Amino acid sequence: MSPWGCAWALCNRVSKSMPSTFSKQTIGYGIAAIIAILGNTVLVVIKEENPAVKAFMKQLLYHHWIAQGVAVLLVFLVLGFILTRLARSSTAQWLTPSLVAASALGALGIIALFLFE
Amino acid sequence: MVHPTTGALAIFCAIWFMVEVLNASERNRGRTRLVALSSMWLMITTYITGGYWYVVYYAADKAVILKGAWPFAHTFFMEAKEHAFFITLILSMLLAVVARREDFARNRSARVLALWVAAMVILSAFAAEGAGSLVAMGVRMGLMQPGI
Repeated sequence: MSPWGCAWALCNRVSKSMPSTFSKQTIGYGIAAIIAILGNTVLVVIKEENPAVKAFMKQLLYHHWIAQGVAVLLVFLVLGFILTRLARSSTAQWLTPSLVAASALGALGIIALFLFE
Repeated sequence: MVHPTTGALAIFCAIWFMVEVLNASERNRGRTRLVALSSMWLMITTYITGGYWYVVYYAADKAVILKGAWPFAHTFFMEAKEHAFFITLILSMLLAVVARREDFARNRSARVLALWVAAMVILSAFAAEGAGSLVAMGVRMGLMQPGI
């Protein structure tokens, strides 16, 4: 099969059934992931631009990177848990594009910061 | 080095997950969940082992890199890698949640979401592996400098 034929077969396989709803866990942890990913980038920018913040994070948990990791994971897990309780199962068609956009924006923000610093 | 190995294995599991989702049925539901869970735990192992190496041993490598011919191996590649890795980690955890809670055989939206998340895990983890290679090369370039 040609590469185009293979890609067409994959697209058909992905789209052959009807759109359905996401579970409340997917919506809750999906939103939490968006917030945690963007929050990670914001925290990197704040930390790199303010030595006092970096020093505070280092003082808090031995190394600024450990503090950053703990903060980001806590945001994801705690917000995910809370939002799962609040969310309802729905189609949430915005979830996938928002997650992709947040991940791309988060990664590009970090790349740009260290590229132009 | 443990963390590049577990990172590569997490990538393999994410690729395997994509294959299972593209062929989603009642028969492979358990396997789909298992590979998503494996990808997540391997990525957590990468975080812990890579983090330990970074916090305890990297300072010496950093000094060598900064005095060498490739200081950008630290100032750009290592700095970007150590912070962007959290995106990969969170996406791999989300992948496990989605795999546990959604029925990919019937739910097209969940299938599309899972494929996007898995693709982003694979892409970002490959980028981290590549950046890691450049950091290692930066150390070698530094050690080739006279006076180090």
